[in-house]
Amino acid sequence: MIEDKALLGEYLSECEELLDSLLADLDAVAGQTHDAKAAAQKTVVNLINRVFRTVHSLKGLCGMMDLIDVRTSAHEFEDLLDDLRLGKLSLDPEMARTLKEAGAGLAALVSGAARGLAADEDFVKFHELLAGIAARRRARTRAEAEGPRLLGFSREERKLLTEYEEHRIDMNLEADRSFYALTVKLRADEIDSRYRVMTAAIEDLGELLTTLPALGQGKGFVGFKIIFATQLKQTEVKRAVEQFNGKLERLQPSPWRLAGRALKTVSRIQKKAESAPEDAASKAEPRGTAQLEEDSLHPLLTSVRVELSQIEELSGLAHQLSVESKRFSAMADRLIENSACTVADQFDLKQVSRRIERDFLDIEERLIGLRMVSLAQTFTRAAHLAGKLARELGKAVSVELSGRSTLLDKMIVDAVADPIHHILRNAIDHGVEPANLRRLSGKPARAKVQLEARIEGTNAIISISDDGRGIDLNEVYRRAVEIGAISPDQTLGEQEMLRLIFRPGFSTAGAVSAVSGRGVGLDAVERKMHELGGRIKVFSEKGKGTRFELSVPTTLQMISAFIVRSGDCRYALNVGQIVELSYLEPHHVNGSRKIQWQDSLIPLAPLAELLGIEAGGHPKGNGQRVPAFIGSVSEKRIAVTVEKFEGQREIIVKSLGALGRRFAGVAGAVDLEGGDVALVLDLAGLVEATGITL
Amino acid sequence: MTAEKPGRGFRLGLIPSTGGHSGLRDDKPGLVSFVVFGVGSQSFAVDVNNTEGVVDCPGVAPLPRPPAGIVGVASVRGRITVVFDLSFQDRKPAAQGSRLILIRGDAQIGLLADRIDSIVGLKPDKVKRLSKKRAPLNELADSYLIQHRRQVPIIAVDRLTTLGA
Repeated sequence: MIEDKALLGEYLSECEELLDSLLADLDAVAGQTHDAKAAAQKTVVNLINRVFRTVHSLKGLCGMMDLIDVRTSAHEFEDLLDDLRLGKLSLDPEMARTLKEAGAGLAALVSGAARGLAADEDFVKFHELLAGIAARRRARTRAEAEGPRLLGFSREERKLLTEYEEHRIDMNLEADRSFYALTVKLRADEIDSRYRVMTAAIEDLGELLTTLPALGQGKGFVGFKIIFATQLKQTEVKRAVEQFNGKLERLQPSPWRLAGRALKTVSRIQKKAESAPEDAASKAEPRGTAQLEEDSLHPLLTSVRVELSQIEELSGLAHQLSVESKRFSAMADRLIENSACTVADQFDLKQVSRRIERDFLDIEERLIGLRMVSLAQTFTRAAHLAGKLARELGKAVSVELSGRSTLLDKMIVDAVADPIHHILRNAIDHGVEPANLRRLSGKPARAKVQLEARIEGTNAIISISDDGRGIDLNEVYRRAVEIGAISPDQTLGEQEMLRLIFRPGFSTAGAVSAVSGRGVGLDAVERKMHELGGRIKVFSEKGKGTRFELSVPTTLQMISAFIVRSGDCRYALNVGQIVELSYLEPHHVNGSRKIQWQDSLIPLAPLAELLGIEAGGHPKGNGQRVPAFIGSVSEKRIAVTVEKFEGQREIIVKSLGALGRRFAGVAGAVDLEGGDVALVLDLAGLVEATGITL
Repeated sequence: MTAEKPGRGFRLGLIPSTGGHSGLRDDKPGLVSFVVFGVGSQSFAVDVNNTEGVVDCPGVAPLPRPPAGIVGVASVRGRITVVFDLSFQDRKPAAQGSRLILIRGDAQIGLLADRIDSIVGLKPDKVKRLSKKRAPLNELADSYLIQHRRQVPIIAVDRLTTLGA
């Protein structure tokens, strides 16, 4: 266990990125194994390579953190992946599925061990999985790789090739692909950028097999010989690589003289490489096994990690500058009107001030963009969890994902993970029927659970649906009466009945199982949605299935807000919480606690009362109509009177810091012009704190 | 002593000391520096190391049903600051504070002050434990210093985050 919290945070953060990549790649491997096309096979080879490097990096990271058991486990997994790369293990859909499980198992070990939560049985389970894979290992049919010899690689050069590179050359020979050597020279200071571009282009053509050094390129230059295999015609290859100004040679699978001469210089190469400057030598060093090890210890990502709070601070500053730049523009306009400067100067001043304003807005938006992450990790983990649960419960379930690339604020993605897991657990445990019952009701034995995400306006809609037994409304009604949520003679519509499942203490499950019903109900899920300024809906049909729909804002920071005034202060409300704006007649407002809206009677309250600031009744309109908005809280409505509507605008919501969670009904604050600050209200929280029953 | 407008606050370490203490700085060996400030008739002190600066208090937006001691939030240097008013301790009306002492850390706290009295430097042994008899203050402070023959409670800033919870 890592005691140092800062270190733990750093470790988990790095691991998270690696695990994210690992699980996504293993998913992709599973998706590609059914496809026998050459392109898919090439993708699988690249994916397995990347998975191998990721596991290697994870192993290194665990070693650095002294998590020896996990390092050993990662090492064993890495060995099996290496066998897979070398063709000692064959990859079929079953193997791909097991690899996915092993990936998820390693993920659990990595994060669990750091927190001191990994149990012995977790390690045992993981090793059993690996043992299952290892049992399928077969001996290689060929004692020694023949490809490099056939292609005319010298003995010294063959010594430089890794086992994996030899194996790939053989595989490409078997696939009857053409081999090429592209010799290029690069200035030492452009190696990193140019080499990356070249290898990316070659990977588009086919498979990059190895990179060897090439000599005689002149002082200050480093030469490379990139060996690759492709199915493309020579003219196409020529056209694709001519941009690199290199020398392209075709290597024939025979002791071809030219190829032999080109590749028969290893001893001279080594001598020259040893005498080359250190940095150039390190770039030019042949990729033997040791070099592969070093390469794979390099970080997989070129990005840098930044604490969310730092982005938040920068966003705050950018917003401040944006507000100031608007003032500057207004000042510039006034100056232009009153000054005697030339028309050209006036034009310039106007242009510059507008550009500054636009640029600051752009910075502000880009900073918000930096906080956005995809739902991929959450969805992938949820799918793993669902698959695991289904197996534990002996149920056959297919989990389908869509919309994984939907981008949301990092904080929202983190916050929706638990609600998604909760609903998924319920779906698998209670929603999905056992296979025999499904067959009896004419359904396929394998149930389908779908996890989807899409953007609607400023909100993301995440839906979790199953084709299980659906919610039994009679049972819901019975349970609601039992816990006193409704009276026995109360008549409810279908949607009202369904919403009863969000009442605290509500559960129709007969018994608390190991999977669901752990005391945390859907009321907690709904509360979390409210905290995020979102909502939850449920649709269900008995015997057909259930769908939960979570709607959350895509960003906590920038929202469309409606500004209202109450007392001396202004307040901002997420427009998603406002259903309608209205002006009420004074006689409808005075002394009333309810108001007719559409077909129902809904509660009516002054905003000041919800805020607990005063209980002085509704704002006085001096005989005029009183502004009021119809707010939405969990599908219910409330009319709230205010003193004035000030209009809608996009705002940056700022956090109230560590104390923020102590203020019920407040989601944050926003800077307004003139140095004012307005609270961003959470209507559901305010209603709850006031004790109004909707 | 002067304080700057929001957004142009200064570092307390650079303030020349007043009130009869000459050159008492946080970095002077063996001395601990405190900002002594007044809220109504009561004086308080806070360790200079726990502060980020003093600014003129901008407009405060009141919070709904705030916990005791908290009056609202203000925007200081683009950061939302939770404003504490310590006058509730002696049941006097909320301070009409013109200064806000910004507390260092992630909690985003500012202490309203009617006046900044001085910056004092003391040897650690001059800081005394607060008697349990001063129970109302124990929620905020665990020690005090003596200034003008009066006990001045030293605010324990970590207790601010749990005040009234």
